[in-house]
Amino acid sequence: MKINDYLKQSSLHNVLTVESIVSENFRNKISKFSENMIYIIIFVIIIYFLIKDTEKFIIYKQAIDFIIPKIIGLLFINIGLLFFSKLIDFYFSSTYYFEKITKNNYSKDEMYTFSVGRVLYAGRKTDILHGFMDSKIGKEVFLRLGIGDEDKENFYNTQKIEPEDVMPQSKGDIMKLEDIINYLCDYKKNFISFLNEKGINKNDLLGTINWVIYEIESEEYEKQWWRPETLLKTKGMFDDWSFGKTYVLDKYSRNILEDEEVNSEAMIISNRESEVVQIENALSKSSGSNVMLVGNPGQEKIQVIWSLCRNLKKRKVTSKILGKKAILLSVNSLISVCKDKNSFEEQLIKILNEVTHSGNIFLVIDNFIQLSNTAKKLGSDFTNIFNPFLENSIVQIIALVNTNDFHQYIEKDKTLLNNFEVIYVKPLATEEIIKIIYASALNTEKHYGIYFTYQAIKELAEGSAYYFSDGVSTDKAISLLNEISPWAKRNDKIIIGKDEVLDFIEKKTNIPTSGKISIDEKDKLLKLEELIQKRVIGQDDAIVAISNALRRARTGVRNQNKPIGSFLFFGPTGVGKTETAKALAYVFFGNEENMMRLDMSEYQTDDAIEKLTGSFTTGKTGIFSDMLREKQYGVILLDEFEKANKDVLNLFLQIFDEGFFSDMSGQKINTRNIIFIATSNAGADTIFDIVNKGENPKNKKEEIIADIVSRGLFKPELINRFDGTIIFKPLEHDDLLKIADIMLKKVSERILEKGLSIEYGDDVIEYIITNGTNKVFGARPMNRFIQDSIEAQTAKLIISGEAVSGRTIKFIIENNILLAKIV
Amino acid sequence: MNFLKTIFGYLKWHYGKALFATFSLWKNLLFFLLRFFSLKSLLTNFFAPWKRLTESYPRNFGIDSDTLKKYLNTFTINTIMRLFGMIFRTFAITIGLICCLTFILLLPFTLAFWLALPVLIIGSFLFGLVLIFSY
Repeated sequence: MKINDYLKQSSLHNVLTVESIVSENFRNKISKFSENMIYIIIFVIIIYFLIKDTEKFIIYKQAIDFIIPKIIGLLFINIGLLFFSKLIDFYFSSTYYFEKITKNNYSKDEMYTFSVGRVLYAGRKTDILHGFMDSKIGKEVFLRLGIGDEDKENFYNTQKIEPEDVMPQSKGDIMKLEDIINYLCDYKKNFISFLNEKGINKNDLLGTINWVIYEIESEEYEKQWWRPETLLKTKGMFDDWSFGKTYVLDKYSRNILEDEEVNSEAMIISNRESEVVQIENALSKSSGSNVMLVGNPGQEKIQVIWSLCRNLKKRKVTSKILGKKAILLSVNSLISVCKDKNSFEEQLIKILNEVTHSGNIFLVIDNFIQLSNTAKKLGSDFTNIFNPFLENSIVQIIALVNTNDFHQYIEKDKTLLNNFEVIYVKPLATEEIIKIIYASALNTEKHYGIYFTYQAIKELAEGSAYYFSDGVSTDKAISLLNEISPWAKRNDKIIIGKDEVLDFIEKKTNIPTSGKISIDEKDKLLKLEELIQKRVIGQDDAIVAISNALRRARTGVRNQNKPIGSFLFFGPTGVGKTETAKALAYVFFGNEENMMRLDMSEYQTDDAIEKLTGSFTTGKTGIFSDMLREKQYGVILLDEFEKANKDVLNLFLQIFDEGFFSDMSGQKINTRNIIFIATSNAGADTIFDIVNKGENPKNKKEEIIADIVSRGLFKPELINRFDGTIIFKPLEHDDLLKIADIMLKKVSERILEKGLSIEYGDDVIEYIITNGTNKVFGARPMNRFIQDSIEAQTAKLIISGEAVSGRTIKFIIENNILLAKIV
Repeated sequence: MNFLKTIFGYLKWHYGKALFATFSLWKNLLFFLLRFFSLKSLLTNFFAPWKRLTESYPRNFGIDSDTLKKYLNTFTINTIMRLFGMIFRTFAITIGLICCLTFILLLPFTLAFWLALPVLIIGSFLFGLVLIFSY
C-alpha cells in the first residue's frame, strides 16, 4: 500500500492536509502580521477621531472620508485573519494534545500518532526515509544528535527514493514513531550505517526521539493554560482567613508549594508515584500520621516531597492533606539561634504548637537527625518533647532522614519510631535520570542560549554517576548540568556535545576522560613503552604488558565499573617495581605526585580495615578513604601486598571487582579512575634460580606463580583478580650500567644548577655498580651510595670553597677509592 | 472532494470535540473562580474566629470574681473574633458570588460566539472587502 493511500485511511488525514496548506510557520507569520496591523489601524482610527473636527483637517475631509471606510475594511480583514490563524492553531493543538493525554488511547480509526502522520505526510511523494528527514521532528532529531546540515544534506541527496509497497509494521493498533524508527533501522541499512559512522546507535536514536517528542509535548502542554490542574494551582485569596498564623515557624521555614520545582511543568517527569501514594496513606491515618522518609543523602527525598506538593496543588490528594500547606523547617536556622537547652526547647515547642493551632500545615523537617542530635547535645529530651505532638491526630510531620543516620540513630529509638511510618526512597535508574535531565536541560537552554545534543545529556547522566561517586545520581547530574551551562557560555560554546561534557568533567576532576584524546596524549599513549623505558631499565616485558592495559583503558574498551587497571608485580627488591609505578603516574597522570603509596605490612593486625576505611565507633576517618577523597585518580602502590591482613585482602578483591568500596559511614568511594599496583617479593628466590639457570623468567611465569601459591603466600583467587601478573626479572650488569648512568646524570643536572659541572669515566660507573648494588636489594642501595660518595664529596668541595661556579669536578678511581678533583 | 472532506473534518471538530472543550473550559474557569475566592473554605469556616485568633479560657473554673472576670473577658474577645471573621467572610463571599454569577451569565454568549465563529471570520473578511472596494 502506498503511503498516501495509507494516510487517507485515518481520520487524522484532514488535519495533516490543513497543516500542509497552513503550516505552523505560515500561521505564526499571519498571526503576527495581523496583530501588528490591528494595532496600527486602531491607532490611525483614534488619531482620526481626535483631529477630524480641527480646522486643518477640514481641507482634506473629502479624501479622508473616502479612505477611512477602506481602513476599517482592512481592520475587519485583519481581525478575520487573526481569528483564523488562532482557530487553526487550536485545531492542531487540540489534535496534537490528545497524543499526550491519551497517548495509548488513540481510537482505532486514527491508525497512527500525529507525529507519525507528519513524517508520512512529508514522505508521501518520496519514501519514509526522506519523509522522516524532511519532517520537522526529523530535522529536530538530527540537530539533537549533533549532525550538521551539510552531512545531513549529503546523505539525503545520495539516497535513492524507494517508495514503500508495504507500510511498516506497528507493534500495537496505532503506529508510533518508534515503529518508524525500527523500520528505518531494519530496512534502510544506509541510514543506520550513516548514524553508526557518527557513533550513534539505534538506542541513541530512540532516546533522542523521546526527548524531541517530550519537548514538543511540553510546549503544547504549557499552552493549555485552561487545564484544571493549572487553574487549580492558584492559591485561594482568602484561604488563610480560617487558619491560625505561625509567627515563630515563619522565621525558620518556607512554603514548599512555592518552590520552582513544584510549579514547573517540566518537572512532572520526575513524579515518584509509589512513594507519594505511601506518604498520602500514612498521613491519612487517624493518629500518628507522620512519615519518616529514608533515602540516600541528597535531593531524592525532597524530590518526593515536591511530587507530593505538585499533587497537592492539583488537588489530587487525599482529603486529610487537601488544602494544606507543606512547610519546610530549616533546622540549621533554628539551631543557629538556640544557644542553650531552654531557648531550644522554647522555640521548638512554640513551633509545634503553632503547627497544631494553624490547622492547615504539614511540617517537613529536612535533616531531622541534626535536630535530634542538637537536642541531645544541649541536654534536651527530644523524644519526650516531640512524641506528644507526633501522637496528636492534628499534627502531620514528614521527617527526612539519610539511610545511614536512620540505621545509626533512629532504629534504636523505638519510642520515636512508633509514631512514624518509615518509607524508603528508591534511587532512580539511569533512564529515569536521563528523563529528568531532558526537562532541566530544556530550561537551561532557554536561560543560557545554548543547545545540548542527546549525547551530551546521556554523558551527563552516565558521567555524573561514574566520575562523582558520592551523592545521588540525579543531584550530581543536575548540578553538573547547572555548572556546565555557564562554563559553556563563558567559553563561547553554543552547542554542547559529548566531548564538551567530558572536557568539562576532566577540567573539574582532573581525571582524564576517555572522550577526546589530545595530540599530546595520543603521542604519550602510542609511545608509552618508550617513555616508561626512559626511567625503568631492563623490564621491557613488564612495561609492554602494562602499556597495553593502559591503552585499552584510555580508549574506553575497558570495563567502566572497575579500576583502570590492577597489576601484581612479582620480583626481587630493587629491580624497578616502584619506579615503574612512579613512571606510570608521571606518564599517564602527568605528575609523580599522583602516585600514592600504602605499605601493606602496616596492615597486618585485626584493626587494619578500620585504619584503612575508618572507624564507625570512634568516628575516625580511614587513611585509604582519605587518600581517595583527596585524589580520585592516579596510581596507588600497594607495597608488600601479601603481608596485609586477610580482611584487607578481601577489601581489595571487592575493589578490583567493583571499582568502589564503602567507608565507615557507608559512603561509596570511587576507585574507578585508579591504577592499582601491588608489589611482592614472594617468589624472588625462584626467579633468581631461573635466571641462574640462564632462562628468562617471563617464560616461566606459570612455574613461578605455582611456586608462590604452593608456599601459601598468595591464594590463586587473589592472583586471578588482577588484570595482569607481571614478573620482574633481576637486573643484569648492562641494566645496572644504564641505571647508574641515569642516576649520575640526574646528580650532574643538580650540580649544574650550582654553576658546576662534573666529569666521570666508565670506571666510576663500574665502581658504583660494584659497591652500590647487591643481589638481595638489587639497584635499591645505588641511590644511597651515590649520595654518600659523589654528592658528599661535591658538598665538601663547595663548602671548602675549592669548587666555585664555572669549575668542573672530575671523579676518578685510584687504588679502588673514589676521588674528586677540581679541574 | 478532498477539500470538502477537509472542511467537513474541521467543522466536525469545531461543532463536536471543540464545543465540548468549550464547556469544560467554562467549567474549569468557574471552578477556578470558586477556588480563587476560597468560597468553600469561607462557607465551611463561616463562624470560625478570625485567623483562629482566640484566647484560652482559665483552666480552673471557680466561682470567685477574678476567674469569672477572666472567663467573661475571654468569652467577649472570642465572640468579637468570630463576629469579625463573619463580617469579613460575608464581604468576601459576596464579591466571589457576584463574579461567579457574572461568569455563569457569560456562558450563553461564549457559546454563541463559538458557534458563530466560522461565520464571523468569513463575514469579517467579506465585510472588510466590501468596505475596501465600495465607492
